[in-house]
Order: sequence, then C-alpha cells, then structure tokens
Amino acid sequence: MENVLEIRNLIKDYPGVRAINDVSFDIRRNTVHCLVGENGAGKSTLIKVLTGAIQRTSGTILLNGKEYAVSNPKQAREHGISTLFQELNVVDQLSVVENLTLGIEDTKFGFIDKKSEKVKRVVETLKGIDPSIDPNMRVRNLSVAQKQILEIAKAVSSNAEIIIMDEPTASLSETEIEKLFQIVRDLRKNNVTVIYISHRLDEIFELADDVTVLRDGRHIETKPISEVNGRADLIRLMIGKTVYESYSAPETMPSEELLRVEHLTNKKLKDISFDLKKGEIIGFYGLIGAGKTEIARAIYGLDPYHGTIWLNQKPLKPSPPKAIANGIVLAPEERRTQGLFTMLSLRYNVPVLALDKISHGGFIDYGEESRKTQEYIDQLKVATNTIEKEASKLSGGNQQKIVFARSLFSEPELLLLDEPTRGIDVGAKSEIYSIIRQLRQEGKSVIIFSSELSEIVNMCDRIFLLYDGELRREIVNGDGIDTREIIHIVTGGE
Amino acid sequence: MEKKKLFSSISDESFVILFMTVIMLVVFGIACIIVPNFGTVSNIFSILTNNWYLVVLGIGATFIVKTGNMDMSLGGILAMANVLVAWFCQGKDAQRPLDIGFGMNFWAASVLTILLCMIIGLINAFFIAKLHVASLIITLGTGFLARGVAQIIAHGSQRSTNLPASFANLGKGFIKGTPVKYSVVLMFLILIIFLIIEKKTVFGRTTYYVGANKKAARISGLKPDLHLAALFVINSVLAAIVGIMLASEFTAGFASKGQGYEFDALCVTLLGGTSVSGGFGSVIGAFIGTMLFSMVTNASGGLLLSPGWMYVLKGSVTFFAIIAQRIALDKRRSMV
Amino acid sequence: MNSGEGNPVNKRKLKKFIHDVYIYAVLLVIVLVFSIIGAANGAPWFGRGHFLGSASIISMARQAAPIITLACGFTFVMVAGYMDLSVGSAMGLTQVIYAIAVRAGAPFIAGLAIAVGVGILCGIVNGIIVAKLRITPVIATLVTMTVFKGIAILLVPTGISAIKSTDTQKMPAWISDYGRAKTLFGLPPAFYVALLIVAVIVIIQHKSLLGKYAQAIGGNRTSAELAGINTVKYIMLIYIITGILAAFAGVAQASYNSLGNPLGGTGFETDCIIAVLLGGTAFEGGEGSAFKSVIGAIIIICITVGMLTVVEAYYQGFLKGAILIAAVSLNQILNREESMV
Repeated sequence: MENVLEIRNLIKDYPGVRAINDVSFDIRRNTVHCLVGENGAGKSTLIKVLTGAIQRTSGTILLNGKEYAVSNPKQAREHGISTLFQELNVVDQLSVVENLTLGIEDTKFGFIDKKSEKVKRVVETLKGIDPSIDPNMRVRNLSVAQKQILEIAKAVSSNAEIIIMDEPTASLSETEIEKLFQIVRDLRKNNVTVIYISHRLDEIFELADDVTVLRDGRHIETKPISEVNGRADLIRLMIGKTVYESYSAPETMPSEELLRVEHLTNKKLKDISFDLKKGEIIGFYGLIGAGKTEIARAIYGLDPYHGTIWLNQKPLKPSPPKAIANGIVLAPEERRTQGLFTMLSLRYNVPVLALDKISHGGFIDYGEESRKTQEYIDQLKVATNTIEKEASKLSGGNQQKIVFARSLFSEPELLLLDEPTRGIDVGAKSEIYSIIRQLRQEGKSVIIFSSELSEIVNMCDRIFLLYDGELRREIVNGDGIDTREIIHIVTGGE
Repeated sequence: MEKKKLFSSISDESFVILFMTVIMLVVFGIACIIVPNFGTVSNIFSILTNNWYLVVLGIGATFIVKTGNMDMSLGGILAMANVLVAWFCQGKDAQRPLDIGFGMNFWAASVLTILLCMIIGLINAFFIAKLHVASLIITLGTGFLARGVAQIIAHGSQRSTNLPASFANLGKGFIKGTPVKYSVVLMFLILIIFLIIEKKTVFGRTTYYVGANKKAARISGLKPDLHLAALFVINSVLAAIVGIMLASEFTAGFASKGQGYEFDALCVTLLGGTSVSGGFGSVIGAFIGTMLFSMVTNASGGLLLSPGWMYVLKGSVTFFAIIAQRIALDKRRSMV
Repeated sequence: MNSGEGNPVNKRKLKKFIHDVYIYAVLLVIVLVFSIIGAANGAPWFGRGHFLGSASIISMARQAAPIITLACGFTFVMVAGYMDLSVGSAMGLTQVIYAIAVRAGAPFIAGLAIAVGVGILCGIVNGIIVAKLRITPVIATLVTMTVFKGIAILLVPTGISAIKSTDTQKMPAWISDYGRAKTLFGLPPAFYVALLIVAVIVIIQHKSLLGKYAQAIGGNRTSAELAGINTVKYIMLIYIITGILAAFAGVAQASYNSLGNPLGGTGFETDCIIAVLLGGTAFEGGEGSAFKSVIGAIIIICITVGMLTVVEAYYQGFLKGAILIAAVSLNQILNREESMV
C-alpha cells in the first residue's frame, strides 16, 4: 500500500462554524508529512479527529486501506497512531524503563519481570534512537527534549505506524532540534510515518517529504516539498490573498502616551520595548510560543519580569488587583479555565472585575447589578434569555462575549485581549470588532494578542511582530502593507 | 411546559436545597408515623434546641467546603474555648489546681477566649493560604493541638467547679416567658447574618468565585488566598462561640467536648447540598441538613435503638444524600 | 550530552541523599533525646527505667505492632493520591468480630481468618464507593468510617464497652499470647508478624504491578489510563490491602488488651497520615516508601512513649497535633526542594 492514511471528504462542524470543510488528501507511507496553515486553518482539529479526541461530523478515513474510526486516544494508540502533545505524557516519578513498559509489563509469578525480553527490546529501541539517555534515570530529571524522545521511543516500541508531532520544537534548543530531526528522519527507516505540524517554515523545508497546506478549514494543496518554490510559495499557499480590505485608521491621530514598556525580559521574553498611545489599537502577532500571552501576563502582573512598565508616565508594578484599579483588564486566552466561572451564573460573571460599581459599603445592589449586567448582555447580543443561566450553558462564542462583557464592565482604559475571537462565528466577530473600534473612538486603548493574521491586519493601527520571544518588527498599518513579509518574519525569516 | 420554565430559572444550588428540603419533610413524615411522640411540638422544639450548635458549625463549614477545603479543627477549637472560658471564670481563691481560675467577668473571658482561638484559625490560614498545604491534613493537626490545649488546662478531664452562678445565664437562659433558649436565638441570628453575607455582600460573593475557580478568581483581581485565610479565622471564631455557649449551658469546660463535631458539621454541610468541588452551596443548606441529620438521630433515639445505630444512620444518610443529589442534578441537567 | 556535568548533578545527588536519610536522622535524634532524659533522671543506659531498657523496648514493640502494620500499607493509598479515613473504624470492627469468634471457642487462626475476611469486605466497600461511584475519597471514607464504627458498636451488647470476659463467657487463656507473650528477645508474636507484613508490603511496592501502578496513578493519572491501566481495579486492590492490614492491626490490639474494643482504632487514621508524611510521601502522591512510613510509625511510638516519661498523659493530644504540623512542614520542605531540581 502506498498510502498509509487516506482522508476523504472530512467535515467537522461546531455550532456556528465549520472547522474542517470537505478535506481530502493522502499521506504516503514512511514519509515525513508536514501540515501547515495559519492558526484556525484546521490543523489541530484534524489531529484531534485522527486521535479520537473529537468525533468527525462526516467523511471517511482509511488506515492501510481499512475504515478507521476511534472514539478515544487509547483506541487510536491501539490502532497504531501515537501523538506527542505539548503536555508530555510521562510519569515523572517513574524511571525511563518503567515509563517505557507502563501498562505492558511482563510478569513472573505476579512480580514485574525486569529482565524480560520485552524490557530488553524496549531499551534497545531507546538506545537505537538516543543512546545517551540512562534507562534507569528518573524521568523527572530529564529535560523536555529527552522526555519527548522517551515518548517517541515508547510509540516506536509499541509498533506505532504513525507518529503525530504537534509543534514539538517549541521549547527546544538548537542542538536538541537537530537531534530531533535526525530521529524523525530515522523513524522513516523503521516503518513509521511522521505527521509533523509546525509554523517554523525552515523546519518544514528541512524535514518534509510531503507538505499539506490547510486554510480556513479547507484543503489547499498536497505535494512533495521538492515541488514547492521556497518560502514565498509556501506562504502564498498558506494565506491566499495578500490584501485585507477592512482596516480603517482612527479619526484623530493618537498622541498622548498611555503605556510604555521598557526592556521587558523574563523566562520567555527577550528585551521587549514598545509604547501605546491613548485611543490606539495595537497588535502583537506571532506563532505559538512567540511570547504573546507572556507579554499580556507580564503587563497584568501575573508573571514576574525584569524591566519597567510606565502607565501615564508613572512606573507601575502590577498585580491583578492593582492593574484593575489602574484601568487595565485582561481577557485571558483560556476563557473556560481562566476567564470565566463556568459553574456560576452570568450575573456573577459579568460584574466580577468591578464589584464596587454595583455595591455600597460591601453590600451588593442586586437591582443595579441586574440592570447593568443586562445592559452589557444586550449590547453584545449574547444569546440568553436570563442572566441567571450558568456560563457553562452558553456556546463558545457567547462565552467569549461574556468575557468581553466583564472586561467592559469595569470601564477600563486599557484592554489586553488574548485571542479575543477564537472560536467565534463571523457575525459575533464583527460585533466585537465594532465595539473595539468604538472604544478607540472614546480614547481607550486596546492591545490585541492574536495568531489570526486577518484580525491583526484589520484592526490594529500598529503591528508588532514576535518570534521566539523577541520583538522583530514594528509596522504601521495602512495601504501597502505586505502580509507575506509579515508571515516571513514571524516564521523566523530575516 | 410551565413547570419546565419555572425550574429552569432557579439555579442548580437552589434546586438542590429545594430537593433536600423535600427529603427532609419526607423523613419528617415517616418519623412521625413510626416513632411515638415524634410529631409533638415539644419534640420538635427539643430537636431545635439540642442541635443549635450543629447549625452554627455547619454554617462555617459550608463556607469552607464551598471553596473546596475542609476544616477538621472545629471540634478541637470548640473544646479549647469550652475549657478556657471556664478556666477564666473560675474563682481565684481555691486549693486544688483544677478549681483555680482567673476570676474574670464572663464577657471579658469570652472575648479573650475568642481571641486565643483565633490563633488556631491563623495557624490554619497560614498553612493553607500561604504554604498551600492540603486543608484536611493541617486542620487535623491543629484540631489535635487545640484539643490538646484543652486537655492540658483541664488535666485531661474538666473544669466545672468554683464557677459563679452568672456563668450559666447565657447557656441555660430563656427569653422571658417563652420556651425559646438564648442559644436558639443565637443560632438564628448567626444564620441570618451569614445568609446575608453569603448572598448580599461582596465577601460572600467572593467565596463563590474562589470556590468555583481559584485561578480565574486570581486573574479577576480577587486575592483568593487572603479570602481563604479570612474564612478559616472566621470559622475558628464560630467554633469558639459555640464552645463558650456550651460551657455556659453545662456549667463546665470539658476537654472531651465536641469530639467528632467536625465530622458532623461536614455531614450536615453535605446533606445541605454543598459540594466539595466548590462554588456551590448555601448556609440554608446547613440548616436543612442539620434538621435532617438531627431528625434521624432523634428518631433513632426515640425508637430506643442502641447507640451504634446512630453512627450507621449518620453515615448511610449522608451517603444516600450525596448519591441522590448527584442523580437529581444529572436528571435536571439532561432535562433543561 | 546529557543533563549537566558537575554542579547540578552533584546538587541533585545531595538532595537525593538528604531525602533518603533524613528520617533515620530524626529517629536517631529522638532516641537520643529520650535516652539522655532517662539517664538524667537517674536510669542507667539500657537498664531499668531507661528508654532503651528491655522493659521499655518490649512495651514499645507491643504497642507498635498495629501502627506499623497499618502505616506500611497506607503508603499505597497516599502514593496513589487517595485517602482512607476508615482504617481506624475497620480496626475496631475487625477486632470486635475476632473477639466474638474467639470467645465463642474459635481457634486463633480461624478468628484471624474471619477478621481478615471482614477487613477485605471493608476494603471492597471503600473501593466501590471511591472507584466505581467516584465519590471524593475523603468524604467516602468518612462515611464508611462512621458506618463501620456503628456496626462495631452494635455488635457489642449494650451496657458494656467491649467484647471481653464476662461471668458467662470467658476469653480463652491464650488470648493475650499473640500480643504479649515473650518469644524471641522477649518480643510478642504480633510484632514479628508485623515485621513480616512490612516485608511483604515492601516487596509488593518494589516488585509488583500494584506498587508501580499506584505511583503511576498518583503521578499522572491520564498517562496511566492512556497506557491501559485499569485504575478502578488497582484502587480497589489498594483499599482491600488497607482493609486486610486493619484486620491484622485489630487482632494485635485485641490480643494486647484481651478484649475487642469497637473504638480501639480511634485516631489511627491520623497516625497513619503522620507516619506516611514523615516518611516523605507527598500528599499529592506519586512517590513514597512503605519502609520509611514504618520508620515514621516507629518515630511516633517513640515520641508518645518517651513523652510519657516527661509529662502527664493528657499532653498526648497536644503532642500529636504538634507532630502532625511538624511532619507537614517537614514534608513541604522536602518536596518543595525536590520539585525545584
């Protein structure tokens, strides 16, 4: 069989949005097959369907010519599809060997046979991939790169046919990346097909045999990397048109400084400096791990940092309560786990950042709370018939609107929006965009942290490009902006 | 259709409390039938009067459990207060060590006792809020510590001698002309105060936020650690108040008082619908839960069952209540 | 090529060394402290009235049998990230049933077997409630603790506090042999059985699937399930083990006191937690050593017995609280250090 995996007319729908739209392509056996596309193109959704984490809406997948449908990751593993995720799937407290044999130990008289053939085989496999890892070492003491290699070894020794790697190089050093590449190339010789997802275009060119480009949930192209004419060609496939129509400059040019960040440095960020004026919308654009969320968290006071932050010309040492008191609010990336209280009602969720606005002397004014909450719900057109409903019962898009509502409730001067329209349908998106523009009109400032290029280009007056924790370029928005250049920079180009 | 709309507009929390109230009434009905003299006014009154302390302890426990924590030091703090207040009020002139006290005025002694018990609450707060130690473990420890203080001061038994007559006023007293004891009044007072706090104040609201999602609470600028610390200190005050009242009621401070009360408080909290996973539950539930709990124990006493049955019933009732609540909520969620 | 040469590796080795050895240091210090106190009070070292005198050691060994038995198995519970507050009540229930059987004429082995059977039942009940019904372990075992206690009290006729010799029924003459008789070195059979049990548990921990899987479940439950481990089965097994050990502990205690006390196990769950914490097991689970938990149990016995020579009995409660808080603090320091490496 030439193709190890064949995908036919795959569709995945979520309420209000079609994440995967009639995708069909083949993956050849024993190749490194790279999946590329912007954020929101459908790559992770496709992977989740393959691993059984979510169920497809319709379509066929053939594994070695036979129908493939699984309902959970364990079954996917049993069928020979293993996945390396960002959250490492290892038990830190056990040793390397114990992790490799977890769940498949041989026993003699009820005790673990630590010298069995299987153990020897598994250690051999590991040695074949990376001889420098001591099998008896506690996994807790391994580096992230080594833990990844451990997972690869485990997949190989459990006869995985396909290993999926999702952005594996995000936290690796140069040498570790080189080593990983060598291992990936060797896997092909061991009858393993690797599906490799990455935004780092240089890696794609180094590693791929074939490449598949997805865009907006649709399949654009699948071809051998040799038939791709360099980065520019690949970028063109990824983003299609180069011109975005709907940016509009502010009516009055912003002049007064609101925020100034100098030499912001921490574990992830490398000497970030920028300024923000009142009545301005700026955006930070970059890949996963580029540092977007880290900047937001630092400004808001959730993470420690070196450097200085000036608010209205005065130095600010932020913490969440202090930030809120100074008019800075954060809409976090993970809305369900950080941005909302899903088990509480909307009445509880919306006013939480500014409870003093609806209370007197510590006592909550229920009437005013209902009134104000309903105002924001109406303004943002949240689909609910009552504010007593629990937030968990709303759709993803409406939940994001609630996150927005609560940010607006405190009448902030500066909004930090981390992936503000992730998972929201087009209608809701434009509603949110017009509200953001309205805020700009009123002299408020907004920083958008996004991995969606069109969003950044449509909304932001100035665009900051991040790569690997560094601020690579500042671009003033307007006619003649070159989106291909932007992609080139955020994927590591010079 | 109408019913569905009605039901869907109340929160899950209110639904569970309603559910448990119905259960309580059902149990009441059954008990009236099978237990002689159960449904009499005097019996109902005595249930209320004898279990007022459990409501108060349950109120404190509800707040703590709502945040996903537990306070196992309640019984120990109660004993500590119980013995301390007696010790402070015992007369200064006496021979044997267990008879000698400080001769303090009752109110002054109470205030001092509460302050000292707050130290235990502060220790809890420190380990749980600052060092992030699991609340179960550390409160087990402080519980022993607090009871240990009581045992040391009472030499392992009690301080019941050489107390002024006025010592018993609060604990044994009735509102003039009525059969309503001061302790019952205190219970209702605390219930109303904490209900108001829970529903109407920013502080009470914060408990819900911290319990529902501690991380989101921190991001929302709420200072969850400080809040938790405050809750444990408040809980120690409540336990101290109960201990003082009980000392006054029995005119003695027992080192063994309140043994197991923290478990009972946890039971009534759970019976009232509060969930250990946090963010869910009301002090009204503590009241309903106590009524249900004490009806069961009172009924078993009325049926002349041996004391072992009390424990079996306590455990079983709590267990079935948890299961029933879970089933009821699941059914509701699939319907609405 | 591998993680660092020189300084970081040495630092790690030092931390590991401290982690392995501190508990023996603590034990040594405590033994020394009480020995010195004893000597200061006039008792000759290893002689009469001294902490390390034969009378004292025999007394401690007799009392230590139950807690040693319980603590080693309790390690599995905490390593897997669970809790069992019902061990004390299970101890009471099993010893009451043992006493009834034995007083009615059953030989020792039969009585022990019946007790162990009851212990297994207790474990199954816990396992079902926790693993199958998925009720929070603390609440679940709180409930079973109450119910087991109730059943144990019910089995004792009203009016008396325990199953013991009465006018009509007498305990057999050999009843106290298991817990008190002077065999090898003057120590009772219960003590040696406890040592045997510890050995078995330690072997299980290091060599069997249960030991490894308890760590996996406590360390990274998702990984464990993904690897195909039947977590329900292994949690059941863990609770059954604590049930069996509670039975052995109960029988030992019954023999020591020549009666079956339904409340005899009160407070043992706290002692187990203290012992396991002292032994270095993190409360969140993932790692732990049954052997070190046993050392922790021995430390508890030494402190409680030793303090009796210094202060009155009614200081015990305060002491236990202080020890638990100290154990928690110690545990925090150790495990904080570990995770920073």
